[in-house]
Amino acid sequence: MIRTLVVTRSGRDPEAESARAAFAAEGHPDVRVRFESVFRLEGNCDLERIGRLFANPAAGETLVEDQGLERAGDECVVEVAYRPAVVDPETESALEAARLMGVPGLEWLRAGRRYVVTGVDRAEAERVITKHLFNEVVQVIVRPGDYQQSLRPTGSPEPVQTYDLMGLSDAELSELSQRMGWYAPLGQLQALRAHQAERGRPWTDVEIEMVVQSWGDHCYHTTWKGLGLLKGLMAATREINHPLCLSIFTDNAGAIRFYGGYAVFIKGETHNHPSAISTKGGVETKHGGVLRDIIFMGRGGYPIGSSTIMGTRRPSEPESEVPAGALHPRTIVLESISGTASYCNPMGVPMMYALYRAHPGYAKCMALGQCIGIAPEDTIEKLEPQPGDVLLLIGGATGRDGVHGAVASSAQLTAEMVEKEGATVQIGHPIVERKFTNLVPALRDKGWIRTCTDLGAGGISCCVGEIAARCGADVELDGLPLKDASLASWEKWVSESQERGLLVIGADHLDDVQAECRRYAVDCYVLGRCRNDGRLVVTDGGATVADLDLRFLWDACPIDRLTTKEPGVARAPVPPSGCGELNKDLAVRVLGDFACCDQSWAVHQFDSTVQGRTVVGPLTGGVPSDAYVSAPIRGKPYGMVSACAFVPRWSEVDPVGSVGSLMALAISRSVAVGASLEDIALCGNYYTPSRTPEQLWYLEHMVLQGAARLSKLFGTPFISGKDSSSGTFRSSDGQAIDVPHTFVPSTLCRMPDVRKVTTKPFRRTGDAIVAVWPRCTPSMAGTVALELLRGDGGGPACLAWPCDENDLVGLWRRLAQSRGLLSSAAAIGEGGAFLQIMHGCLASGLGAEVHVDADDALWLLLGEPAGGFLLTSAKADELESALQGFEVHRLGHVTYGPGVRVSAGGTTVIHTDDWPELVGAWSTAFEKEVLR
Amino acid sequence: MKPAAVLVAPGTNSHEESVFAIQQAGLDAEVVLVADVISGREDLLDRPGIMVPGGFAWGDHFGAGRVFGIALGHQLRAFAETGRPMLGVCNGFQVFFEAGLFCGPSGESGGALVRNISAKLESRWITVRADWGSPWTEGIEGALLSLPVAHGEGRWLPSDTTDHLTVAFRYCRDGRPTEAYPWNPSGTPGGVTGLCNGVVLGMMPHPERATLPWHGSEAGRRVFDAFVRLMRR
Repeated sequence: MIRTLVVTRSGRDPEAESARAAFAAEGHPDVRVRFESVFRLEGNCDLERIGRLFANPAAGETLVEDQGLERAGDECVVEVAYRPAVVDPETESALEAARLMGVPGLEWLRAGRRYVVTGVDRAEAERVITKHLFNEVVQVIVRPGDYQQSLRPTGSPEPVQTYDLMGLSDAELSELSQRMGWYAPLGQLQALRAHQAERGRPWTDVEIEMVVQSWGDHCYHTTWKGLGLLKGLMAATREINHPLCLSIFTDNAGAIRFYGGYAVFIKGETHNHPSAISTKGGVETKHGGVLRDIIFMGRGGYPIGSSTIMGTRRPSEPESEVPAGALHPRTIVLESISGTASYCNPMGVPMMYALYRAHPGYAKCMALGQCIGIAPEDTIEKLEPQPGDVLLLIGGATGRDGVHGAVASSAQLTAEMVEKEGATVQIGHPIVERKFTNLVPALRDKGWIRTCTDLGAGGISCCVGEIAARCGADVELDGLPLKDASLASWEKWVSESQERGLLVIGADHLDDVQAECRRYAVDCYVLGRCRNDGRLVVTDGGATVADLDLRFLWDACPIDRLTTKEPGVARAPVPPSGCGELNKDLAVRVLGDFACCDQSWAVHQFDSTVQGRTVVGPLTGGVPSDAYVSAPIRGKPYGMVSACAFVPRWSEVDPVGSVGSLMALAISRSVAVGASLEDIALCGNYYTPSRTPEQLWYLEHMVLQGAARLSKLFGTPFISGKDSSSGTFRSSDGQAIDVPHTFVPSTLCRMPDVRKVTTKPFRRTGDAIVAVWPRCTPSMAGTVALELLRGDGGGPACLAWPCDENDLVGLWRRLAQSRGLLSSAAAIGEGGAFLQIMHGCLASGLGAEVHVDADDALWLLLGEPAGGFLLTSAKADELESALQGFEVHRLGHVTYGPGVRVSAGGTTVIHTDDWPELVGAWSTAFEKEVLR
Repeated sequence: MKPAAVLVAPGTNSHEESVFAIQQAGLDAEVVLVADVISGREDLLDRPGIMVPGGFAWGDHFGAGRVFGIALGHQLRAFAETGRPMLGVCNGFQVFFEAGLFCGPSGESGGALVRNISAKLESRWITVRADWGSPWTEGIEGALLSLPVAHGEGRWLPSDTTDHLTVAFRYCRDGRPTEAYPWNPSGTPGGVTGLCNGVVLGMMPHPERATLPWHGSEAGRRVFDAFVRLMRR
């Protein structure tokens, strides 16, 4: 029996008010809407008793029997629910609550939302709702008569298929791969055909799916291996031989030694593909994925910091200019904020920083998530599974979510794929992940975990394949808890349902571990046991569905030799003079630029103080902090510092040169708050256009000539990172749009005493304002100012870069030695020294008086020199003396504010009276861009 | 008596710092899993005080704190009858409302905590004033405390009668209670963000995140000092 209950609300409904504001901004001022919640219950339970779960009269909620979708008068009802194959996050909670309330008979629940619209006819109401409050990839409009039979996904699984590749030509192999959604290159298909000849039987679908996803670029990093990039980066890290490095590129995350017997570790990963087609789910997936990387690092870790970094086209872009088949960038930004909030907040992991940047190349958006974790140092090494060890799957049930996600993420995004690969996106269920976030460290501390790994790309297939690579395993899929009874064996095997992890435990601990799982309300399933011969044998429904030698899986992947070709583009610095002049109008435009403006409207939606570890959060005094600082060990002042750099303009103008500038910015941000160069390690994430010889040349040089070489020069090792080389969008009208060659370096540092952090807010009236950077060839290339003056970034061109790269190292060291002279410190990035002066004033309520030569004004205040700092000090002479040998510019002094006065060559170009306009431009631009 | 209990449900996420804050104030505390309370392995009546910390218990599905409040309502109400102190922070405050801990003697509900006017979660530092008349604010009446908040449902919707409740904390701007955003991030009437029913305190700001010199404020210690004082009473 299916019963439908509807919850109506009296009084103010802020969500409905917010929706009405959005409708009005989009030209529908007459549309009025009320929200109702709808719950469909399957089973025979006491509605009166269960009703209290759905409505609290004290909160103005009233539970009513379903009135149907037809209403009298001018009201029309549009009901939205998840697609039938998606399990509502509320379902599990409802079943659990019914059990706890002692209400028997509830078998399943589906939740939905009804929009009661007035002011327009039904067709228009449906159009408005689907435009603003609906995602066709994961949701449906409910029609009268739906849900007659059962609420649960039903059906029978397809039988196991076999594929005989022996008789197929190369062309037929490729055609089959495309048709089946394997997206495998021909070399791999040929290897599969050859191996079939050796073992003498066709492939089952389980086996072939396992091989193609394991060999995909997403899991096997074929592009990077083909270019020798990972090898180059690891060789540089080994050569640095940093005493703090504990785990580099081998586990889920890269780890360094912390204090007090602990290690801290970092992981960053992009989820561009799902975020581009269904942003909220995709962004939830990215956060869920990196958080699990941390939770299953070593023998179990605990996440202590998250970040979100999004690259899109301009959110205010007119509808007509959005590439055909792509989501509107405003939708992507708003949904990404919603996805980050809906995942990271329930996970209880503090937000370290949230960056939103725009570039026309991001038709396929960039969605990078990072996470930092902590664990006792002696638990960060995984132990080797032993024969007979139990493979225990923990967390959520397995559904059709993300099937082919790993291979799809390695492919170019096309307009058609937005529709076709909708199944690669799933709905986040962070509470399931939160539960094992508590469980895993508890099991680790009891010594019960031999090794563990998370289920992400490739699902059970990838994680069993990796964890049992040497020993092999027997796996039984028959009793696997499923969201959808119709899943075929191969779908169970490669499903990327999130919120799952795999523990390898000694058989003698199984009962204890299962008992702890029950206490922490974590579901678990004995998936199988380890063997001793390297074979993987998978059974389902009593039949063997896969029998594979894992040595083939990990040793036989053909790596294509990739050809690179130098694009042959001439690059030169863009000199400051002649670009334009500094004046109030330019300053206002810089402050209102999407990269420079106040993004706190988004940042305030993310919990940044949960866990009680935050020392410096994403905002300080209302302006963006240079770095996140945490004191992870309770009661101790030991600090973990993390900063990052993401500047698409720099990447576009000079893809290879920008790698150094970005590394310098991330390191300078860490040094500004108080980290020493000796205590800094790096994580690098890359997002580059699809593979052509020219694009691969850039990638190769970004990694080897940029990141690897400079990491050695700076002495800052790369310990983790990830790449995606599928940053090309092909629109439905045939246009190919490449992302800029994106590199995002992030630091992971430690500092001995967080009480000594330095932050941006100005401290004292009269303090000198000093800018310092290495001696360099001035260049306005890639700056915000140049783009506003000329309409482009000046490229291809060279960014401002030190004449002697060793100067950067010298400056970081010298600054660390001069820390006692500083009142405030900030690294100079987008928006130049001027933006940092504004931040110093805004965060403190103080003001600034700035004097520069007319010829230098643009460069000194709006240039973006690599590794530069904006400092204030009460002992300016001493500071200047300490920084001798670098470019030191005393720009002015701190005043009793508020307001900034700037004079260039004796002429005032920005008056203190301009302050409200400057602040207004900075503080309102983000909301204007994303909300209208 | 056993240490103070910090209750952890599926989705609770602020328990570790809460245990630390109580310990810092001078009394032992430990995490107690709600599964152990439900199974009978733990009896809350063995505890000198209970804290329900922040998070998203059972996903806050159907209403913030609702499943927790319903599932543990009986045990929480039984504990309240002992007259020992109970502290609900953020999600814990919502749980207390859903469990009926702010009900009056004649059954009046005290109200509920509903969606912020901004329709989004608000994570920011705010200032609250400790009000008069609550056992939790004894000795700090009128003090201004700088504390973080992070919630989406913190607006008090009072019932018709709330005489049995005492306001413990109000959002302030320039030292005065305010309804102006963002100083009052939820839009709660009168700036009310902390309520007492006897020695049951619910509050939206997070005192456990402001107890150390490097937190930016140590004002949260005042709340835990009061908690320990009431437990020792």
